[in-house]
Amino acid sequence: MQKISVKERIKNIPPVAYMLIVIIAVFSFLDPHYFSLSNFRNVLIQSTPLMIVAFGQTCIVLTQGTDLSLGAQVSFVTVFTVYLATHGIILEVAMVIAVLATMLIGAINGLIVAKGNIPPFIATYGMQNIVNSISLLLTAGSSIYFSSFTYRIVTETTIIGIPLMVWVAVLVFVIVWIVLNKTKFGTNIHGLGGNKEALVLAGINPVKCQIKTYAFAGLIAGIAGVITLCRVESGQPTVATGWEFQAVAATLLGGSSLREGKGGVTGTIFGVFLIQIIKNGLNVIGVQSIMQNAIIGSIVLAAIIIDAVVRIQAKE
Amino acid sequence: MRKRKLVSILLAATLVCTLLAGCSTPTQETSGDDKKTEGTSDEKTSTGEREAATVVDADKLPVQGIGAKVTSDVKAKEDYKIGYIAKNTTNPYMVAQAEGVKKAGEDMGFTAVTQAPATADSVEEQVKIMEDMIQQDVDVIIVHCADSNGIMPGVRKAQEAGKLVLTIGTPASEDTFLRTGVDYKETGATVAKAMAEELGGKGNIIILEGPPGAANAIERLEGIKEAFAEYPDIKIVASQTANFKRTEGMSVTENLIQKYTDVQGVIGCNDESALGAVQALKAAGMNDVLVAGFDGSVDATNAVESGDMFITYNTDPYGSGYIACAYAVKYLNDGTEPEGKFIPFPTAANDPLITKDSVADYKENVAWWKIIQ
Repeated sequence: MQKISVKERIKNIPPVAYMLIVIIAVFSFLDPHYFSLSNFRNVLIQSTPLMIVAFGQTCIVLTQGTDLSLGAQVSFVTVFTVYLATHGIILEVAMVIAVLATMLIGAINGLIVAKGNIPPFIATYGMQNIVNSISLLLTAGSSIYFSSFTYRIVTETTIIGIPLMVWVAVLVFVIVWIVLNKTKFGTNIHGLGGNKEALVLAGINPVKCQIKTYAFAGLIAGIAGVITLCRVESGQPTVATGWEFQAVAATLLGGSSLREGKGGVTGTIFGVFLIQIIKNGLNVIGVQSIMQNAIIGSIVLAAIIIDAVVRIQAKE
Repeated sequence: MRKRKLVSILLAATLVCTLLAGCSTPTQETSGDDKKTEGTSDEKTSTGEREAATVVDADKLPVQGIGAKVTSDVKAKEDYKIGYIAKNTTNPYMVAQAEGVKKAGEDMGFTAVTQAPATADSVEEQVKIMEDMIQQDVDVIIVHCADSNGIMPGVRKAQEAGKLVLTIGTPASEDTFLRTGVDYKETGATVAKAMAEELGGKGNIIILEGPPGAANAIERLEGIKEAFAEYPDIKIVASQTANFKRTEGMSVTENLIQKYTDVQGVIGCNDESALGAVQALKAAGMNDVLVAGFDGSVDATNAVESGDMFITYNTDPYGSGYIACAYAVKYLNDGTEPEGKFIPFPTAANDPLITKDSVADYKENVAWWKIIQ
């Protein structure tokens, strides 16, 4: 492996990172409460569930797909875990079962996409509806509860001042990074998006590989679901509605490409932070919520346009 | 390569284990008193931990009048900062509630900050906003919870940070400083009773339920069902969700009247869904069907006036926001505690039903939506 120079590294930082600095500076200027340790701790906590989902989504995006069922899977885990717990299964065991279930959902997604040769957008949109419906059925349309101290251990136990749930995200990041950059499976994921023919020529079964990728994203969404469950202390059938799109946005903001199988999970961190920091900042400075979506949309668009321009210039 | 695969599997396994190890150990220490199972949705709306409603006489409330007429003698002694979190930005009810808080800020002399989740009715986002408001250093957080249990992490954080927490409408699952707004069950029972009386205690009813997961909708439904249970000849032929939306109220009603042609009444669990039912019934030429809703919204008021709707209930979001602020300011001034943990407002004593007879006065003097027009 060749060494990458400092210059090269700086060039590789996605523009969204610079945008982040600008936005933080603007918010700090607008409100004295903004630039504080406790507020950044807030942002970290608030970003965690979406961050984890986005790590999974990044893997899918790298294969030139999108998994629109990831949000539904997160909601499903909160519901299914509580459902199992209220039916006599120990909560922690229920969590594992629910996570395995989302892994299975992911595998089914992968199977449909790969075997049926169906665009991932449609296949996973169908799955989103199915999973959402199952969640609503399990709760009879409402939200369901199982009280346990476990939730608060995940959300309130801190290691060097940072809650356990954030550390879980860090761990997931490390694992996804290693998988994408240091394993054959990771190379194949990049290959699926970049050059499928080469993959087949190399004797890799693309169907298997796709199934594995979707299952992997499902597993990660499941972990995000457990974190979300601990955050809202209840099974909420619609809690993560729309997260799949935010995760796609974060992934693209982070510099991963829907066309070439290029990019990676590091950029996604910046993408998620960009979205969450804007949300948090707008709340802290007290911007009316009806305005917030428009502002977030504009900044996200701007970031993607800047990114595209930078890329085109780099090519020239 | 095989080794690498193994490594990745092992790493994934470690991840799951760490997560669980972190979880399981301390649970065992606290099991017993903390393990309480609440399985069904029925149980959760009536948890024993919360105090029952304390109905305070109108002349003892810190405010006078309801709706647009609401006023108060309470004045803030310092420049307090009060944050209000709505459930969404689309329902006029929520907009009016925020306006009530803002008006209270002007009248009583404090800084009002109002927010709502970008994803409608997302309790997860409400918790985020609460965290951000704590950061903003507000003195009081008034929240219209999207979910009783789901809001608790935010409530606990706020209380630990020394903030006063008030809820309007849907309560938090444990008592906070104060809960106000209507008693949903009572609203449901009052409207259902009025409809049953009008029908002479006999008829087939369709109910358009609220969104899945919304506790207020469930409580209201309970109230409706309990009231109808008193009338053996009233039959609920169908009860389906219309998600508090007009379009869904319309399509669900359209579908249901295909099957149930003999219907005498439709109760929408809010005005929007009820108005959807009005449209569907009109299109089908079923003009004799009584339609009832909740909230006393502008369109519903007009529908009552024109005879398209039978009744609606003035849930007065504006006054509820206002009275919550009055209690909070009173406490911040000199530590005056409210008379109870749940003081419903407005109550049945405030004549909340908007009927053919009362609609003119309501429209002229009381309607909360006059403020936001």
